[in-house]
Amino acid sequence: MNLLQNLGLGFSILADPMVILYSLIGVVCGVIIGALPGLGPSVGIAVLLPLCYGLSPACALCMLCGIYYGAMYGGSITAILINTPGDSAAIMTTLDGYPLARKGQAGKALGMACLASVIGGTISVVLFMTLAPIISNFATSFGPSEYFALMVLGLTSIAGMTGKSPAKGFLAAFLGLFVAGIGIDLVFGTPKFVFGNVNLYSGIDFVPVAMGLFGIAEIICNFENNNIKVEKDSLKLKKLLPNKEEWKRTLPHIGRGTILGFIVGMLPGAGATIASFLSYDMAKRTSKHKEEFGTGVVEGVAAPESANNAASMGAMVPMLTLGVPGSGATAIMMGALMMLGISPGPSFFLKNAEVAWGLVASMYLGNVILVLIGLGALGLFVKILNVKTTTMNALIFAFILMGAFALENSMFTVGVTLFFGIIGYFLKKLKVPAAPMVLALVLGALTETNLRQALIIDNNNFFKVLTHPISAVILVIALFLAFGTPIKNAFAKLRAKKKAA
Amino acid sequence: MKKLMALLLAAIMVFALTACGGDTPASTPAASGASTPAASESTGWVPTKDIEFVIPFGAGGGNDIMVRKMVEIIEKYKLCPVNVVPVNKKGGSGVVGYTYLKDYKAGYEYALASTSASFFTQPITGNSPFSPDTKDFSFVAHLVKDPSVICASKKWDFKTIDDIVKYAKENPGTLKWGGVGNASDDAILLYTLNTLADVQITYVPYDDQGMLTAAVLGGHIDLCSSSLAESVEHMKNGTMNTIAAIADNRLPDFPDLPTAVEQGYQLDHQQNRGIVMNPGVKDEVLAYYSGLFQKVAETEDWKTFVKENAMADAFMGYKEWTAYAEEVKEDYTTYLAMVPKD
Amino acid sequence: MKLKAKTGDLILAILSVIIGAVILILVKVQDLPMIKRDIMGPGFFPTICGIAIIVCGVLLFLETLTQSKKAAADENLKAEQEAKILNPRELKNLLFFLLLGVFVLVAYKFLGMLLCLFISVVVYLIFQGKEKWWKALIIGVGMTIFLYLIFVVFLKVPVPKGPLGF
Repeated sequence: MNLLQNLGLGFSILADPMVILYSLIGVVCGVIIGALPGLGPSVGIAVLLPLCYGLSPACALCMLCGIYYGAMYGGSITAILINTPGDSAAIMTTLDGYPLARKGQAGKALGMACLASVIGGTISVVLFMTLAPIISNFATSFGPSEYFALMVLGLTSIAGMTGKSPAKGFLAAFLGLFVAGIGIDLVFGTPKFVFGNVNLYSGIDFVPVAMGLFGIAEIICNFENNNIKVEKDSLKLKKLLPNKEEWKRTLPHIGRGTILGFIVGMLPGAGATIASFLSYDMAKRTSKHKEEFGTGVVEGVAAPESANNAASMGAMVPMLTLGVPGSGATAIMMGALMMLGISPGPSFFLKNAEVAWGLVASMYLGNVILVLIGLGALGLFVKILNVKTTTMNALIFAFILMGAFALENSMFTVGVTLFFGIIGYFLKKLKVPAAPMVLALVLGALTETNLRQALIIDNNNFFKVLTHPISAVILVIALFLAFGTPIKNAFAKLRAKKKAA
Repeated sequence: MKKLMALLLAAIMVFALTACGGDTPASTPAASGASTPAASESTGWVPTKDIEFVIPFGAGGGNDIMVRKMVEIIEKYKLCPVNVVPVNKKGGSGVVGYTYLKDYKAGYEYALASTSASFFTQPITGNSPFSPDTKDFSFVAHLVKDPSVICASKKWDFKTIDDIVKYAKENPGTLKWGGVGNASDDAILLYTLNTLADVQITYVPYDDQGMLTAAVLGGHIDLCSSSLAESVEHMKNGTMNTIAAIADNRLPDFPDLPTAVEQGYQLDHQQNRGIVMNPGVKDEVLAYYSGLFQKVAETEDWKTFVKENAMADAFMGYKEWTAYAEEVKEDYTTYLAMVPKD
Repeated sequence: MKLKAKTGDLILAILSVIIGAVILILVKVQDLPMIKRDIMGPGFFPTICGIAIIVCGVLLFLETLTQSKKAAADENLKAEQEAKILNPRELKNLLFFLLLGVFVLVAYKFLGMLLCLFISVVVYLIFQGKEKWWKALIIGVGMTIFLYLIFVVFLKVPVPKGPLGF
């Protein structure tokens, strides 16, 4: 079968031990960089790019893929241990990962994050392998109106994050939506809420906001010497791997998360962050234990983690088959490939079969190495928790500020992080959930941009925008998700009343 | 003690890693190149401390790649006695970078910045306090021009600009032209075409090139102009129809593609990439840098790079660039006047 | 600072209404029309946000009052509402981080970022962490070296330098 032949071709490239070595280096560097607050795969790839000069394409590719994967996992390490997501895709991981750590089950959370990432990654490599050439059309079938519908769907998942008080949840969301609008208007070039400050021209990036709202707000509240006691044997391999019961609970979520993540990741611009939001929301809705989400359940870690790794893979589809990068990290990766003399695009799989399949094979390799390192080094990661709280606070503070600076080489970003850190503290005290604010910030800009573009394309006919086939389907799903439960409840009440009558 | 161990372990690990990354050049911006002065023949000024090369845009972008290539060439051929350190300072479409540059005193000899179209467009649209002329900058060298191509989605049968114009005249307001930014070269191209051909093609602004390309491929957007580098693969594979080249001459890789000018439309505006410094830099300093970049432009490495990235080599020394910049500024003022405001 | 949860919520509600109103005012002041040249203008989304925030504030106000009424009967709810939300130790932490953060933002130009972070960490460790001065210094130095190696050497981030060369 042609597929197996190609795969065999790809794997033959892996036979070279140098290739494996570089993949290992890539994964390790990726994990470290991903763990640093604020830095994600894009930075990792951009930074280690110079190391690729003079390497064979196979080595370079494997290293880059390793970095990509490692960084996706690395972000979840700090998310779980210190509630500071290493990158945007790890934000959802904090919701259940951190509570798990506080309960003394950091090992389990980290283990699940690793396994879910790898399972999600591996399945999506298979999907990529078998479907890439066929489904590349899917990536281009989304125009502004379809993206708008997708964003609306994403925003409905906010409803699932509001906790006890919907008013507070939506308040956070609309504040986030407002902050998303700060900057120079895309269509007209008018400055909006910029107050003449050059640094606000491009708007406020959500990464410093997330670091502040989650990371700094958290360290302000940590003052007791309440070291999260990690039970020694929770680190034994047996305990790290989920037990039968947990596998039963999480596998379906991992499966759904992977597929969802892969599909969303394929859409240029959507990416791992949105995939992780949607996956978490879907897991919460479909779980029999939905009330437990947010208190520390492994499903809450597995779903977003599998989705974000699957999305990374999905983003490679448009990059390799169409030459259109699916996300920031793939954009840089594409630049890297071009530097190596490989031009992704419609004829990529045909012209560069060896490289293409080598790339696929290196993805598998990356996953394998990730499992080994992820689980093996867990003991090391968790040692971090034994550090005295006040010392942790100081160190985290320094790391966050440094990471904030490194994002854009600008102290302004540091200021933004600090500002939102203070606000985050008060939001925490007032029990206003921070996740909706960040989600709205991430989606808000895309929602507004795509809606306005869609309206321009459809000549201001809003109805037409809503009724593009794909958009309509997505919007109906969104409506159902948003109002389905209340309507169902209302009907149930009505029926109960009738019975009682 | 435990935490000290952890810290030490981590430090050792990092040391091991930096051993990998440590031998790339310009990794220690500390001590300057104290050794012998330049190998350049020119007498006069030579740098004695490290030079900062500000890139007012993000890593991985066109400008960034270009600057880093230049720095690489300078190091490879040892064209400069000190280190040239690239520094990204993105934000505000370049304004943050130029602000950083101007934080140094006027006439400061150790900081350069690269320019793109935004260098000219931002001040004219009122989004930058720095005017693109000798009042606010000294001009060092002009390096390349960025030709672009007009592409059409495969859902149309357009082959020439005339085809597009004909359809647009019969169906005003239906064709959609996508571009990045709202006062950018893409927008300028469209509005100039609208004026020249007296048609009404609607402009749809994007902020992400990737999404724009996907939209054209998917047929959501009918037309677009992109830099050659971004369109090359699609042109070769026929996933988009190429209509015209926006360049001074036909593109070497696509000799069958007529330029817009050849098709009868005066559309030859391209993006200029150059280098500037703070205002008031002394002539001998400018001469040094101008000479330095001229040497860079003469290397085979640079020529290959320019060709691979589908740019057009158009080196100009500081005197020429200063004069040319005036022309470019005039041009942009005229063009941007065509972009509708209130 | 003693602040009950109930009072906090009410203040938040009122604050929201104010913030929403400020947004709407800014939209007018900065001249951001809802419709411009026949298409959706820059003021559309911000206006919606402003209105929504005001509405959320009002809803929150009503929600808090309803909770209050319910609390009369329910002991748990009452406890929740009367709980003091601001913790003095946390506030002290807040103050420390705020001041240290501002210090870094202001002094980085003169002392370099790494030095500022070093000072911040040492100060925090001594005053909040109650560490002995030499322990604090060791931790500070270790951390600074670590940050230097990762960010300056490995990632080549142009971290603002101070008089000591880093």
